[in-house]
Amino acid sequence: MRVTTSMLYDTGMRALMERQAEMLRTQTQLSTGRRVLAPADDPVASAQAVGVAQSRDIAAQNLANVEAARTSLVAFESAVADLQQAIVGARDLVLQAGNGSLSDADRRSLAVDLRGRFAEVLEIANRRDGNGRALFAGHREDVRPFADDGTTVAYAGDQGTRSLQVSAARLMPVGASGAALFESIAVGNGRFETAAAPANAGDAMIGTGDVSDSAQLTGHQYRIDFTAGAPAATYDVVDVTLGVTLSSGNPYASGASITVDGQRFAIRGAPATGDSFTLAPASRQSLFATLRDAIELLEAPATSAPARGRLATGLERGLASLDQAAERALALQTRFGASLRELEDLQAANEGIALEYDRQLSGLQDLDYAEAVSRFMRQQQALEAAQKAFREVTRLTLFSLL
Amino acid sequence: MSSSVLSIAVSGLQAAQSGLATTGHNIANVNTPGYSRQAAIQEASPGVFSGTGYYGRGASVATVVRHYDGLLAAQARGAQSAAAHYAAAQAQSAAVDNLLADPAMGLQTALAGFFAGVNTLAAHPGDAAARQSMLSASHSLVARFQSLDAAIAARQQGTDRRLEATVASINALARQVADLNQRIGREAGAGQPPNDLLDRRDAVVRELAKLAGATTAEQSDGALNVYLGNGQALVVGAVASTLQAGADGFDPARRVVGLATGGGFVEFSADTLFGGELGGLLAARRDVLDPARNALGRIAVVLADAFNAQHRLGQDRAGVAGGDFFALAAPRIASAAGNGGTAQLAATFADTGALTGSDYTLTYGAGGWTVKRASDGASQVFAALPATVDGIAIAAVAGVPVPGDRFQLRPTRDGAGALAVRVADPARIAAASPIRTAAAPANQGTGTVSAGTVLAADPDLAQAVTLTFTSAGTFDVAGAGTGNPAGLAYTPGMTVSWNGWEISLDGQPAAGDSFTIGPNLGGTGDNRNALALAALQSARLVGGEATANESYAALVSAVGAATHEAASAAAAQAALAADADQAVQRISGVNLDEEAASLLRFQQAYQAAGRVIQSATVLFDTLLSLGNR
Repeated sequence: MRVTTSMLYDTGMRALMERQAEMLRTQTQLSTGRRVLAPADDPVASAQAVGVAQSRDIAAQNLANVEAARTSLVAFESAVADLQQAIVGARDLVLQAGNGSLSDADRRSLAVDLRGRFAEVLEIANRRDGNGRALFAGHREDVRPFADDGTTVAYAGDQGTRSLQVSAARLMPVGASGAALFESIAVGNGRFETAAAPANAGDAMIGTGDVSDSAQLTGHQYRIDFTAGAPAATYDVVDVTLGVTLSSGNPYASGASITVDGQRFAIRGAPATGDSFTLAPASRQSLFATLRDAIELLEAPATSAPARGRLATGLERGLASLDQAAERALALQTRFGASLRELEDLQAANEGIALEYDRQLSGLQDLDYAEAVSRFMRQQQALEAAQKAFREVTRLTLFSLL
Repeated sequence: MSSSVLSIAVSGLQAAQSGLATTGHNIANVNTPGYSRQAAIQEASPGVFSGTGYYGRGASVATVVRHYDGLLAAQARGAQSAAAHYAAAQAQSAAVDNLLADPAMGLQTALAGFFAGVNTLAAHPGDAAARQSMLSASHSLVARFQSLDAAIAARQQGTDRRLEATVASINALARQVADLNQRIGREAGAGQPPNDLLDRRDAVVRELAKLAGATTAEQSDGALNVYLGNGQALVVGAVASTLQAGADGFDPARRVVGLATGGGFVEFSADTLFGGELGGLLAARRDVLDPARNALGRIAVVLADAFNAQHRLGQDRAGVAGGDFFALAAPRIASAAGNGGTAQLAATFADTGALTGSDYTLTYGAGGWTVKRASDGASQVFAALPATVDGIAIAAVAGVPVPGDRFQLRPTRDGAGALAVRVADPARIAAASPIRTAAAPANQGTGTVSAGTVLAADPDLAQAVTLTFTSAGTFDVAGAGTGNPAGLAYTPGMTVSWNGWEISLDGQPAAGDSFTIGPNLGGTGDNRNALALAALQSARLVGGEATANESYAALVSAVGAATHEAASAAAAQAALAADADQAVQRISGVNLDEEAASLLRFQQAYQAAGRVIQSATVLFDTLLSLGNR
């Protein structure tokens, strides 16, 4: 093969340039720690990296949402825990008031305590989060949700509940509206409510009762009409809704349980002729109305026989209604607790996912240092060899011998 | 005899001198690009007849040849042309490539940041700071779209400038070839090859091939004709045509390359003009720059349009229905410079999810409008406008077309560059849903109503609607826009939809229970629409098959693959060109050692011829001395 002078130079120069380009590339990889310096180096891995980076960002975003959900739920949980305590306190007061040896003055002092509880519940209901937004206003977090005008506490919020995306497929409610916690709580035993007619003359009271057989419930209103007599009073049972007397002349025994269409209750004391008691499907009222009813009951003097009957009926009804409210709070508290536990799991899961994506990203983009360093050494040797060869080859010329 | 010895010796001296001169020329041109080594071809002068035979009359130099192989030279030229093509294409596409995957410049981080802002808004919809940070994140996203678009646009403009410069260089080289053709024709007429002129012309043609893929054909008179593309003549004999970087018929700012021929302009496409820097620039523009800019615009348009659509279904902090969050550019439609008719067309987005990212040409003809998609060449024919193609509605707004009129539609070209945030006041971000649902406080049953979703911006959306259960299994509906139907059957879990909203009812309501759907008054803590907006991050918006981010990943992959391909091809062609160069060098290159040897050889021949003269002189002196005796 014929070799020319420019071939010697060109070949040598090209080899040097190529070795240097390889070394520059390895050097850039080593200094950045990235295997893929531009998508062209590995188009498939680069496209995957864009996708994995988004997945990792979404996992990180979910983690941030988990944290926001936790902050929100903890605020609600603590408010509901406070509410539970307040309800327990109120219940104790109502229970004390049932002690027959108490005087009107004693009950009035209990009523003062109960007013304190009322204020406490109102404070909880209007509580605000760290950003000054009402907790229990539903979506209307800028308003003061519960306003007391002295007779009623009106709810200004709505029934909305905020949710957050805490994982790819889980939209978690992170609170509860004031309506869900304080409003529309069933009165009495929750299914039906009992009441003494305001004009009753005897001291008889009616208990809140319970449901003996759900299947027999009709949703009708009933009335129990008494006629005093000896040896015992008798009563008639009237279905008010249908306008029919179901039974009449039943003998009355104080404290004996009476069952009407699946509703079981007891009447105690001595009813007078013309006294009546009513049964109706449970109506709903707010916790504030229940508390206010109890306060008014305790503040009213109970010296007469009918007043004592009304007090006993009212106290039992108040207790049962407070139990309904406590149950409502407990249900929400349970939900918050379950949600918080779920968040713990989701946090661990999201962290694991984010870590896995980080690992994938690293596998797609990052440099294997051991391999790169050994490659760099090899390239260094190759460059040195090319330089030496170039110097030796170009030094040889016949002209130097002439 | 002695006089003939003298003349033989002189011819030897002259031959050796020619050899020395040629060797010296070779040594002098050892570093001249394109130089082919030359050799003086010596031959023996025919002998003179005499009775005793033919006596030689010495040496003469027949000609000076260059060592040259036209086939190898053509191969080397072709390889260099291809190497220059891919190197130019790779440089253009690598610039975009580096941009796309850079965490600081790429779209991925901006998209993630934007949706992080939307999620923060969802977590704190009533918080002015969260609203402001979401708005800032959207400005960052738009800025990223714009900077990416501007970087690609700068490359496109750079391509235009380089096309102009390259065309100017090509024209200069073409004129040189024509000049050299003329001189070579003149000098070859003298009977000897003008070696150095031929070398120079070869070198010029080689430079030309690096700039544009050219084919050559040598003519019998020694002229070399140069052709471009599909055989359009750039140089014929002593005449060079002019290559032009002219304005695109649809877009005057854009340059296209063509030959000026007798008042016309023959445009070269990237397909016909393979090779050289020119071919590489055109190919990169067609295969990488234009599609990348369109694809980026498509992502911007699709994302912004979907975000706007969801944003319009929401309600802002003041309780006003959300408007468009982003402002986006309409599809660009341009008429060809030479249209005979007066028709003006307008295009709008009908369904951004169906966009392809391709450009289109519309041609008016006897059968109506032919719409051709540039990416795959598929055509559709419409008898009349308006028509909808790939999610773009095209309408004629004014004037009358004549057959042959052409228009160019570039739906997403401006998508990224012209994207803007339309909402200026953070309170105007529609994080809330415009409706709210409630169960009546006195409800006796266990029935519940869902928070509801908004499907469409119905005019009656915020009208109060009441669902009242007349029995456990039937309900009446009352409210504007519903037609007040009565006695509808209830099944637990059913969905109910009127006025653009949809709710679901569950549980067991009792007779007399009611549920209301109404305007969301003062719902500043509502994040339902923000959650729907955040969900767009994972929604398959682009063509119904890819999220915005996946679509971007596809763009990164496409540009990366194109760059990778160009880089591999450039490296392969560079190696081929180096091999072809070596093959040429083997024949034509100068070897200094060889020349040194030639130097010695001709020196010695010269000395020897000198000795012959000396001998002839001695002979002559001998004759003269005879007379003296």
